[in-house]
Amino acid sequence: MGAKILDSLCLTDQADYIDVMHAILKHRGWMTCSRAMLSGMTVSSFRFTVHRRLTAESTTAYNWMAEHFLAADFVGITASQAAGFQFEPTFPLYQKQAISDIKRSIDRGIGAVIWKDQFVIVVGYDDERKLLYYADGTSPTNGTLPYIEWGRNRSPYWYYQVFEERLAMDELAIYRESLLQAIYKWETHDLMLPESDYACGRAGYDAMADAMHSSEYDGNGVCEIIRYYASAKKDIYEYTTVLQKIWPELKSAVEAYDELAQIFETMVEMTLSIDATQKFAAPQVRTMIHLLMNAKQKEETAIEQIKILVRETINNRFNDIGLR
Amino acid sequence: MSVFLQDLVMKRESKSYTDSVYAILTAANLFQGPKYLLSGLTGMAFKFSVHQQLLPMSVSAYGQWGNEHKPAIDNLGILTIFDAGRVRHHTFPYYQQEAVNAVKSSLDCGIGVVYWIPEFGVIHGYDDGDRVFYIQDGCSEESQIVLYDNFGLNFTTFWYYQVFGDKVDIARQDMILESLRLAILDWETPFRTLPNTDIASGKLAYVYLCQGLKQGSFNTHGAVYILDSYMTARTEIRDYLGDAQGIWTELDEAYQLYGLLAAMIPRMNDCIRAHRGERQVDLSRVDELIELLTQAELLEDQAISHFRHISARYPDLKRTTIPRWGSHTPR
Amino acid sequence: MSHMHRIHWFDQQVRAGTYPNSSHMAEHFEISRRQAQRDLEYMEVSLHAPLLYVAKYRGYCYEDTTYVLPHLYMTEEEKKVLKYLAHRYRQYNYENRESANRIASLLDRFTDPDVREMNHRIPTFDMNPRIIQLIEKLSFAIQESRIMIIMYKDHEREQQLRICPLKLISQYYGDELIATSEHDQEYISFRVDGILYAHVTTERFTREAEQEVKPWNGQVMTRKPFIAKVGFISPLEGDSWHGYRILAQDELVYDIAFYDTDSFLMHLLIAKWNELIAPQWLKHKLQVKCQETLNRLHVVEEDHE
Repeated sequence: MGAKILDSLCLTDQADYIDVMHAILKHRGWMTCSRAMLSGMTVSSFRFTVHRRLTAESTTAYNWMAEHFLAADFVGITASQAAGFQFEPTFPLYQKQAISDIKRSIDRGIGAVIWKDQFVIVVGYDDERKLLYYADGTSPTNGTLPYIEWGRNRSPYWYYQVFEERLAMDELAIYRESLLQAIYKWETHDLMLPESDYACGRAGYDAMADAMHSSEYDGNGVCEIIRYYASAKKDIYEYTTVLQKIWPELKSAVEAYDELAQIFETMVEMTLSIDATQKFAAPQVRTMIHLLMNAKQKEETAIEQIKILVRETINNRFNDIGLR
Repeated sequence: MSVFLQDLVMKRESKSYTDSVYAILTAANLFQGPKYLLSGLTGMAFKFSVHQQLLPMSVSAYGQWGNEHKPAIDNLGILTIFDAGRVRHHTFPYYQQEAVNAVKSSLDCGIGVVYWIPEFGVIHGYDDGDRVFYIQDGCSEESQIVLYDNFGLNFTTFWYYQVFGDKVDIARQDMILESLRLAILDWETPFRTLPNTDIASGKLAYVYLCQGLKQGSFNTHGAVYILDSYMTARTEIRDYLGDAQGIWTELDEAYQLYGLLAAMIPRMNDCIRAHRGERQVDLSRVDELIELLTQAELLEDQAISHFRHISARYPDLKRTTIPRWGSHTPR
Repeated sequence: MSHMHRIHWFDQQVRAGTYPNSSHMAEHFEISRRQAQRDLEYMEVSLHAPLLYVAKYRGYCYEDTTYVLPHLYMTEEEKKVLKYLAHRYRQYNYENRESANRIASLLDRFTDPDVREMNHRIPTFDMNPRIIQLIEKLSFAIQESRIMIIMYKDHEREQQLRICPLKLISQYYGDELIATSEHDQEYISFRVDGILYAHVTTERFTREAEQEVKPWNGQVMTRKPFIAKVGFISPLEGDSWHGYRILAQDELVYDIAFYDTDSFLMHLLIAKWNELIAPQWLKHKLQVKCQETLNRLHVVEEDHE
């Protein structure tokens, strides 16, 4: 029977996975870099996936198990994670295991990531009251989650990740690998997602334009997608600006990412002034499509520049650019 | 400190993973029944993968093991944790140490561990004094010895181990239904190790096998291994479906089809002959073998259709909900 | 292959029409005439150079002016490129590592590898002349334990440093130099492509003996050997016991390394030793083997009875 709450581990705003990871690693003293840097190093900011009907869940529609393991692995952090459907018969077994792993992590002074219809941080537990304490950025005080309720979300998934050790890594190796993975993300469809329903990377822009053109989209979803990815594109710009100091050859890519971020800002402003419950008016749709195609071209340019920088390694990875 | 699980005996009869899991779970009282039942319920019997050149590695190249083995063990109602990766990745030394600890913990609890030797084998003991694990490979009576420091190192570039935990009961009919769904998925997914397309699975594996045999310059040892594994699996499926009679008419019909398929196995076996102490495909009977395999493919295709009819009658949340895990290209 | 540069010089002189002879070569390179003569013989016999002595000019020309020295011969520049490639292939740690490492061995011998025989995909590396030149300098400094002055640029600044270079490591994305600063022993890692300028001084530094220089990332995991603790009646000589490496010694008890269990068991059956102390599993295997043999002997004896 134990209890522990980690001090000063919290979120300041509604968070995505990188916010949660950043808060935990910073609290532990393993990372001092900005969220944008972490987002770049973990390749998270380079992910661009949309449901073809532009639903809000697009922003979390990716392979959590694979991507979150890799996010940690790319920056030299070892981690354990597990995921599943709550409706599976084995769920109670995994629930018990999850709580045990999360508590052990708290005992080691490290917050844990869980999915609670968004990613949140577990900051403490109390065995006597059978409660987990979590921070989700919506309130200054911690939320409580009874052990028995863990994993029972509105969405059918349960998921958790605990971080274990930090291993020394060559920063330049991290940056370089992130650029290779960025190319991979741009060119590769996520195997977990049916192509009939989702588009990834470069194809994401076309899917968005098609959806707007055919009026087959969710208005709220569009706003959420644009807001989320605008933040990601800004992160990419900030990240590559730092990398440019090491590799001046990235200058053109950085300029392209700057323009890309600005285009997304323009799209965000557009979404603020329209009624998301209605479909966008025809002129707005035309403008949006035009901006999307511009954005696609900017990102394409940036990736081409990155390819030149890392051409030797791309070549030697043959047709498997994502495989380290 | 040392631990040695005496009751654990692994024998190579089926796929090496099946043999390993069967040895572990029966010794730990987590599974009762014949091996073909385990092979069927886990869906392992239905996994069929072939490399273009009929390489021996085909038999265990049925997909990313994590994605294949987890649903297999889930269907038995058993909690499982596994870890795997590539030895050259910089975090491997840490994960190796974690793995050594996890394996010892499992053995302390009396449960063996699946380990990629290669092939899959069972860790059934450890000795802290010598810092070694004892591993059964199912072929030799003596255990292999692996130093803690060498855990995971082998001539392939990857490592893998898997431990097992508690169990919940699942209704037999639900388990069988799930196994049929795993079979359908395997049959319908041509490539399970993308971006590589030189290994085919399911229905397409038949095509690769026949084409490989036809073009002649195939790997002789691999061809026999693939065929032996295939024939064993088809027998397992027949026996497995035989025990599941009386639940669904379509399943009884599928059983009949697999019965016909299994009846062709002696003739397939005749196309393999002994040559200087080794078994090899008889090149003069390749056409005959291809003809038999083509007939087998048709029978199996019809059987899978029956599985589909059964599956369509019940909601399938697992496959109609997009997950947040599963297939990904190796990174 | 150290005469290759002399042969190159002679070839150049022949082509320039200066009609060189062995005396000229001896004088130019400060070698004996006999050595120079041997070089010419090598050119004629091994490299099939159609050397023709022209008495009028007391020197040589090529009878066949289309003659080109064969591929075995290469310029210093080409040698540097191959040395660099050998270095990259040797340290390659990715898919098909064995093939890449074999290429390194072939390149090391300066033979012409029939790369077409290798079915695996072969990595290729960018040939940056500046990097190749740098690697050359760094290799020399490492070999000779010479202090270097470098101008190094990372993402924060450019700085001049005095360093003791220890090891060159090739990561999949490029080359790294592991060094210590002149005054302390802490390892620092430098990207070779971040070294703007490098000067090899005449000053030497002392290397710490037996120091394992580990790279930043992915130390290549190599298989560790089993270690048998074996007791002997008298001391062993040298650092191996019939080819099995001796790792440590405590009076008459030796730690012997081995990889292949079956071979080592056979060795234990035929070699002289006093006591097998560890590992337990090896003792057990040896016991089982001996018991099986004894059982077979009893069976034979029973047959005779």
